[in-house]
Amino acid sequence: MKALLCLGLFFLLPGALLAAPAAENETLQFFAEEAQVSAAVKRSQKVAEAPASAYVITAEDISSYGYRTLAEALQSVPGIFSWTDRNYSYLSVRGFGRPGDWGNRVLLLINGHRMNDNIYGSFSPGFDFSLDMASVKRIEVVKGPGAALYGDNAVFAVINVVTWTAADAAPARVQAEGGSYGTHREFAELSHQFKDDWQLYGAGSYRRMQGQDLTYPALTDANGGHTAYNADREESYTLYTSLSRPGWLFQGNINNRYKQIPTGSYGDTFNNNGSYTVDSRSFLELSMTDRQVLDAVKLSGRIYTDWYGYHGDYISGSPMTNQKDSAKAFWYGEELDARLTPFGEKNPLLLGEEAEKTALGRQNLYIQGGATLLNDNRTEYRYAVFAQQEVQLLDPLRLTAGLRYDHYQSFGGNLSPRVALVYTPWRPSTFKLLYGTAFRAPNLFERFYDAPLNAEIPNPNLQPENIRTYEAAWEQSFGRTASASLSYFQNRIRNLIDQVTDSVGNSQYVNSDNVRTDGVELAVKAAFTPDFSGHLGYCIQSTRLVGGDRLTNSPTHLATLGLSQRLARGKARVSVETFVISDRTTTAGTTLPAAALLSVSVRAQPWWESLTLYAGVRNILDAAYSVSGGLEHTQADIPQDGRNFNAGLEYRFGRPHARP
Amino acid sequence: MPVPERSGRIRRLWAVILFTLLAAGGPAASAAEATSVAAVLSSEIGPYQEALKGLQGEMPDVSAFFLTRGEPEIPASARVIVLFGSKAAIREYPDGAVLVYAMASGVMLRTKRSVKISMLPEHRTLLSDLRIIQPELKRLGILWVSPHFKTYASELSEAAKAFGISIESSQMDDESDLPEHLRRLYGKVDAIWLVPDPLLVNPKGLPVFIEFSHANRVPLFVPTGGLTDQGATAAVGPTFREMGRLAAAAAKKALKDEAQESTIYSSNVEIIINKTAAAQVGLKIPEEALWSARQVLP
Repeated sequence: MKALLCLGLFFLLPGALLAAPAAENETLQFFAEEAQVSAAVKRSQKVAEAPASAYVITAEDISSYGYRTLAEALQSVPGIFSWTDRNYSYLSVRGFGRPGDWGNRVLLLINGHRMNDNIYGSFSPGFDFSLDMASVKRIEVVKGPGAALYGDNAVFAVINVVTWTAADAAPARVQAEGGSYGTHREFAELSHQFKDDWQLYGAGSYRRMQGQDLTYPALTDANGGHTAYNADREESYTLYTSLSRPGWLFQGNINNRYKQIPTGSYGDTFNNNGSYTVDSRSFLELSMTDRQVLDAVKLSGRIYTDWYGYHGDYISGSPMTNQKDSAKAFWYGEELDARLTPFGEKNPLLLGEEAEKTALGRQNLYIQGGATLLNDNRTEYRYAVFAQQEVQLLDPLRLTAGLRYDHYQSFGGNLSPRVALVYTPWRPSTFKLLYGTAFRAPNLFERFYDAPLNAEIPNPNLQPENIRTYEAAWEQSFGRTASASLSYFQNRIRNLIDQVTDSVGNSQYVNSDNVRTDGVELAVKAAFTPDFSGHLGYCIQSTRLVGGDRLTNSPTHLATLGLSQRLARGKARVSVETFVISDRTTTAGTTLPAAALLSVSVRAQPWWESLTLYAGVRNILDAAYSVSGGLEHTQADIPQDGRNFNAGLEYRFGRPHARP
Repeated sequence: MPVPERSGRIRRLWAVILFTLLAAGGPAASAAEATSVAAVLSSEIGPYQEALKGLQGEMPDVSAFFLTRGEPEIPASARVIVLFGSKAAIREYPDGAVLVYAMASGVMLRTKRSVKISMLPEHRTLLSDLRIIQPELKRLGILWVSPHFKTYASELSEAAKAFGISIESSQMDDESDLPEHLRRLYGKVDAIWLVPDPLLVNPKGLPVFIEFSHANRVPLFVPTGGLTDQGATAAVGPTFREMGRLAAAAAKKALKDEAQESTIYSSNVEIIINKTAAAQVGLKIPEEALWSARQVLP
């Protein structure tokens, strides 16, 4: 009898145990089924409904994959790759990345504040970026022309970097790390939440890199050698602070970077560690967001002041001369937007204006102990008005139309229209048809940099270059944990501002060629489980001069694949990322082979949740990877870093803690 | 004078006839009721089966249609349609029918002739039970994504004043904002109440709540018992069967054209406590709460 009972229990018990989990799973299963419907019913605008091709890099992505710079993070975005010429870092977006254009065809914002300077229209996404990546909460990348809302520089993309606030951060946090090439970096962050929702946040960092000894066979020093020793040092600091409460933000930022130039650019004496550049950037801004002033009117606006400084020492010639090149700019401005709903909440109208004055735009060039070659001072103003109307044509069909008029003291006016049709037949799928134009105004450097001794002549009559973009996109959600997008894009650039060399060897910026790009982009993001996620990006494109050759530095294929896995019951994380680039031509006419780079990043909290250890190895296979040199370089290509690593620790004082 | 025996027999006969008529009238009334009411369920998984049992316990002959088996053939005579789950709730139904819908937290029907059976407990019942579980509760945090919870949050905030509890609540645009909003709650709340928002209670959002609760020692209270063994501290809410029963009560009122609330909250709730999760967040459960609970998980 007892045996029968045991036998019965033997068969019944597993069934009972199995039954219990089924009941628990069914509760979650119930909510999962409900979520599919709720997501379809929810009406708030999401990335899928935005009238643009948008991509978001989160803080979790940044820490998981160990992105040290904005450039490294942006390289995870389909269609974007970054490089360094050992002085500055650059971006290529959808096949267009001119060596030496200093990123002036991409608009960079920090919490909505424009960061492109008023001399070169530039920003640098490398280690000289204005923020330490530990301060970054989110990076929003909107590809395509954004001039209808943002104006100048928003040609290929608008990138908005969003920082942490006291609401997100622990009261204090510190990081210390070391790495290859004699690098060390220190970071500190403080935050405090006051009563009445006031939040104070501050972060600062210091980084120093001793650098590498770099070999360029095309260059020769005074002793016949081809290696630059002790000529790659870099030192930088950043400081950022914000005081905010819901709807208001006061922010300020200072950054400064010193970098030696090891590449002998601009004819500098090779293997002379006296050539260097120093760049400084700072701003102050007060902004308000969505202040309800009337029933159907919300106001947003900002007032700001900015400063940019550049100084370069260039050692060249025999006997050696030291050319001191510098630029300073100071500008201030305001912007006011009104969001109205005269046609109902579903059909908002955005009206805006902005005005800016460059009170100081100075460029200097002189020879130490010698003549002044350039002393140019300019003041300029610009203003703009814009409007954008969204119309819900049918329940699943939304139209966005925008128009912006910019007026520049230098060249007059420019109109930038934009139209987007977004069709969401069922919530997981969105189809978009986008059309827009953008422009890049010729900057002070391109128009007025006058140094005949260096064979550089100005072009005050330079006109803006214009781009027209067509895009068709399909975005698909797979439940709540995965999404994919596929898009076809076509860019047509007219009056491209490019640096050319005339018959007597003078270089000058002119409106030259027309360029056309056709391409297809694929982006996939998935959280396979709560602990395992990944992203995949692929871009195939063709960028050519109209009626001519493929553009230099324009790879046909670009691909990235990232995978991240939490381990050890959530106390550790390992992330792997691959970047693949196909062959491309250099400005010198040579061809660079395809390259594949593999990086690994590890984070762990082995003892306490407040202490995180992290380490990363980039280009772990030590693959040979070079980029095109610019016109200022003798060498056709500039090799990028081989295998390199960094390792550090982070300590949070107080909660909340963050898991690896 | 004694009643003649023949009169007594006649009275007994009339009593039997009357009783028989009444007894027959019950099923007849029930049958009439059944054809006037139809039930549509989004799925056949356990919660829906439980809800249907609750409905049919009060209205045994109601026809039930599962969307997983195809298009429901709702009788033309149906004056009240009881809907379980959002998939059932958002479908088109005959204009004249009253819709009673339950287990559809992410949906709010705008038709005048609809009654919602909420998955949330009645406000005072919830606050009272939470106080039993956590006597020192003074600040309660609530987050949601689906806009329909805004009214509940403000009603709860009003009711909480009588308990000396303040509600810290905010609506998120998207589930991806969850970590940021949870961090904002830290230090401002003694516990978090997870509303049955399907856009939050899912394989991605729930672990974030659980992780935050454990890492920062903030009790997490959930509305359904099936979530406590995922790591929540305790559940306070109506069972699925109770929701079915409330749907039946609302359907009966609708058949009689009686006025009723557009949203019905249950006061008949169950408490399920997870002792391990409670210990992890440093919460000592009082004896009274353990005795009140329908189930205590070790």
